[in-house]
Amino acid sequence: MSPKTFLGEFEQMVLLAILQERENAFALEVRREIERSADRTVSRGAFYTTLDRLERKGLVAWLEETPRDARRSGPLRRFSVTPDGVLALRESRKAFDALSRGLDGVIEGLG
Amino acid sequence: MSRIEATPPRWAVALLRLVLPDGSHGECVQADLDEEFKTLSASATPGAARRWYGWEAIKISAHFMWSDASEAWAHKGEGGGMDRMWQNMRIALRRFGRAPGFSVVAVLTMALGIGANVAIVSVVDTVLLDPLPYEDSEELVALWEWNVPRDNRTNVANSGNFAAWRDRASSFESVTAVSMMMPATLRGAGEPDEVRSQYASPPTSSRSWAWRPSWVGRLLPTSRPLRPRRLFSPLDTG
Repeated sequence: MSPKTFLGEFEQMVLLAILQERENAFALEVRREIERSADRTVSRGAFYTTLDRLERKGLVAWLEETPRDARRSGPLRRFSVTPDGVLALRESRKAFDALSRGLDGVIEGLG
Repeated sequence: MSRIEATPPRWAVALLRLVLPDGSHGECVQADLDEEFKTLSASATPGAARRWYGWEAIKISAHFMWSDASEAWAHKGEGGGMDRMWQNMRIALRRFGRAPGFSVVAVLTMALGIGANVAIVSVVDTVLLDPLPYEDSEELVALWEWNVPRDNRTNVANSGNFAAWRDRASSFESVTAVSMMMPATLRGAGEPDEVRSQYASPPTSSRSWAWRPSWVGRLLPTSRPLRPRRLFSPLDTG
């Protein structure tokens, strides 16, 4: 990985959702998890291209699996976050925490 | 009554196949969408499900195309023009391979279009724009008989009529009769060859010698008007 990989907000959400889903981190479940947790609609195009980008950066890996549902028209991908992906999340969180220091009152006060 | 199973619009499926990445990666995205489509079809009308699929296919395709373009833009400085051209060629070939039916139709359409244009331009150029290879070719005309009872405007004139035209017509500088094309055997030093030939009467004016450069044969003497000579097409003797 490059010395520091900065993640976008949506990239962080995708990585966290994959980690949340653990063994069930298939594309449809990951997308639903983001929609449920973040309470926002996730565009399929943005979601899949973000997964592609994270995979190219080496932050996400995927394994192809045979679907259990025989009616499914194609293979399934089970996603996982690579060690570099976890490191990138940690760096992003560190930067976020550092920038948020001392602002709890302001942020909470606006809520 | 059994419920009719909805199928995704063909154009949307073809669009996704064209735009999504190669291999299982693209197949997985399409299979995910198919799965969601089946789930939606169970609770929505087939028309609504198909509209949903089509709209999602467009949005997903737009995202992937934009992503490809952004990627190419981000790497535009890496490598020279030939590298980029070669890369574009490979992308085009991969996409052709992914949608062979569409590719065949597209290539055939382009081939027909190019072929038709070349043919039209060639014919227009040769027939309308390029002058004939004769001196004062714009003055050259063909005469036919009009057989009124049969309404045949290109009736072949008989020799008597031709003789009358030749002797009495004052509007033409020279009149020459030619026969229909017919096969002939050309013999010489080498192997004999079959060529197309026409009989032609001697012209009535020396100006008609201007015809000769496009034909192979002996000069036609005006002093012997009653003996037609055979002319050979230069294309056949080549």
